[in-house]
Amino acid sequence: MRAIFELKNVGYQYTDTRKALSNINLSVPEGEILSIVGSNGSGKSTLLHLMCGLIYPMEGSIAYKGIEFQEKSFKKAAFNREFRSSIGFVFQNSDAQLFCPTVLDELIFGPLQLGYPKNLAIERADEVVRMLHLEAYTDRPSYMLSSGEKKRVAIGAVLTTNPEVLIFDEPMSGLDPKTRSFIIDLIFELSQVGKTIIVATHHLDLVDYLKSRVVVLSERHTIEKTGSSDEILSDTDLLINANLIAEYSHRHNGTVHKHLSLGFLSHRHGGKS
Amino acid sequence: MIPSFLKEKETVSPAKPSSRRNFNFVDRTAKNMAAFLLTSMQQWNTSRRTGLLQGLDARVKVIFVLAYVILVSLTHKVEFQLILSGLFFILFLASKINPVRVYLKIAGLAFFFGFLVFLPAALNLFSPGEIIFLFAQFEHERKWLVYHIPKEIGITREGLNLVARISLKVFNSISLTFLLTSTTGFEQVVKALKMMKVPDIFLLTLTLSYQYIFIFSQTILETYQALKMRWWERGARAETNAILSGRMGYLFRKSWEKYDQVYHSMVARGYTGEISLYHQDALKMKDYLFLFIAAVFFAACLFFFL
Ligand SMILES: Nc1ncnc2c1ncn2[C@@H]1O[C@H](COP(=O)(O)OP(=O)(O)O)[C@@H](O)[C@H]1O
Ligand SMILES: [Mg+2]
Repeated sequence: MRAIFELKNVGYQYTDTRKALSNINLSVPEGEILSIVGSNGSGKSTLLHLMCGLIYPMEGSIAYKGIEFQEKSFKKAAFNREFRSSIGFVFQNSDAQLFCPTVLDELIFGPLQLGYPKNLAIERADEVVRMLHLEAYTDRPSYMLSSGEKKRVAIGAVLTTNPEVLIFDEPMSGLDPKTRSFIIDLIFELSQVGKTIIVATHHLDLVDYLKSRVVVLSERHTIEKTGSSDEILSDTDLLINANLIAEYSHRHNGTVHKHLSLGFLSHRHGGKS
Repeated sequence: MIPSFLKEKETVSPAKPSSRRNFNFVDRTAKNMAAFLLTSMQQWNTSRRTGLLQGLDARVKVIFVLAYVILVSLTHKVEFQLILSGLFFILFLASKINPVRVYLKIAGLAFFFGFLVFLPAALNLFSPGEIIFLFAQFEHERKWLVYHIPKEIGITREGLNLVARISLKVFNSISLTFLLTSTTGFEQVVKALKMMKVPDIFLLTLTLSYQYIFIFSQTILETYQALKMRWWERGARAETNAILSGRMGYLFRKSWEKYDQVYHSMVARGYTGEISLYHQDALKMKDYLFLFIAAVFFAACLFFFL
């Protein structure tokens, strides 16, 4: 399988004192699900923004389908069109992503921008609305929705152009359990129909569920380890070092007892333990 | 659950764009202004370095800046303005502020608000004298309505001199503001003003405007990025243009929603609109020393240059 993204020794910094990312080497094959995990501030969003061509590497290089790109590559209309239409990015903050007067406008914006006929755009929007259960909101402005609704609109706005690659930045943050499981299922199904998927998260249950390849970003802003989800999730030392889990102590029935905050191994205590 | 179109590779071939226009000038200017405001404000929030000015009481700095803004505006004399520029430069260095970065910003602002804005004043219509750049030449002098139009129109040496001096003053005033903002947190400035008996209603307006500008700039930048992700072609299409046509209004509205949340969270944490002063630090020795030196310098300037 050819690589969708190929990053070589990529480094980036926002201010001249602190690195946001350094020495990233990563290849993302077509059709894969890749999870990028790391604690807050480890550089997940920065990495995704680099892959989406929103910021550009200061060190090293990044290639899309074998074509290296930099800021000036987007001045070429053909590359810009090909790149932007095949990569869909769901921002961490849905508010940041939505800018059209109504939900429906938001959904048809992409296809119209690509020059599709209006009826096709609306047809697709309808299907996406049904899939995401947004029927009641189509003519409302998005800033009046709840965060779960906004997240669904944000995903829908990206899906109507049918991109090959879908990139999600912390898709689970700030959502209730029902919306979370809805979105996990959706990501999984999108991968089943052949989309390449990249997800940044610090929710290990998402990683566990997707059974993806996992890249761990350390607090030193570089890749600590790459492996299968089972491999990574069983490496407790690694997870503690990367500040993805922590040890808690608590007491029940009078005995103090330590355990790890592995949310996905939901632990229940019955009687004595 | 997944619609069928998502199960296939994209087949519809995109149409050619109807025109070749990217973000227009206004959009790009708005974005650049927003980025500038945001970085300035972030810098305002994080002035944590320790240097001369950072160690002084905010009241001292506010008084210093106000007094010296008046001093700067008093005279056009170039030597005088240059001495002040030198003084401000030393203060930047003593406060450990990267001079290259701060002076690039100051120079940019001074160029715009000083040089460009006042450049027309250099024309011989306003500043008679020896023309050094000729723009237009007519056969005769003319009268047009009440105006007298001379045979030649151009920039005069005297006019350019005047504009240069005005720009220098603007440059100095902006340097002063940067001395304050890059060494003093916004809340400190508000508290200092409160201690100086500035009415609460004025401070309230100041604080809330500051918050709103911050949020509004952030919204513009976010929207710019989101648009970039879905902006495939330089050409803007008629339908999407129509969708975006009210975007400035929309951005105001959206920022307002966010701002409302920020305001509510302030209220929830006990904000009543009254600025409370927990403790009123007394001025320290170094504050008095700085005030004294600044006052002596001020008096000397008045004595020698007026
Ligand atoms: N716009 C920005 N300006 C300055 N620093 C930033 C900016 N965005 C992120 N950073 C810094 O870069 C580092 C990585 O941030 P980010 O990629 O957002 O991490 P994550 O998404 O993993 O939480 C952090 O130290 C953060 O403070
Ligand atoms: Mg992030």
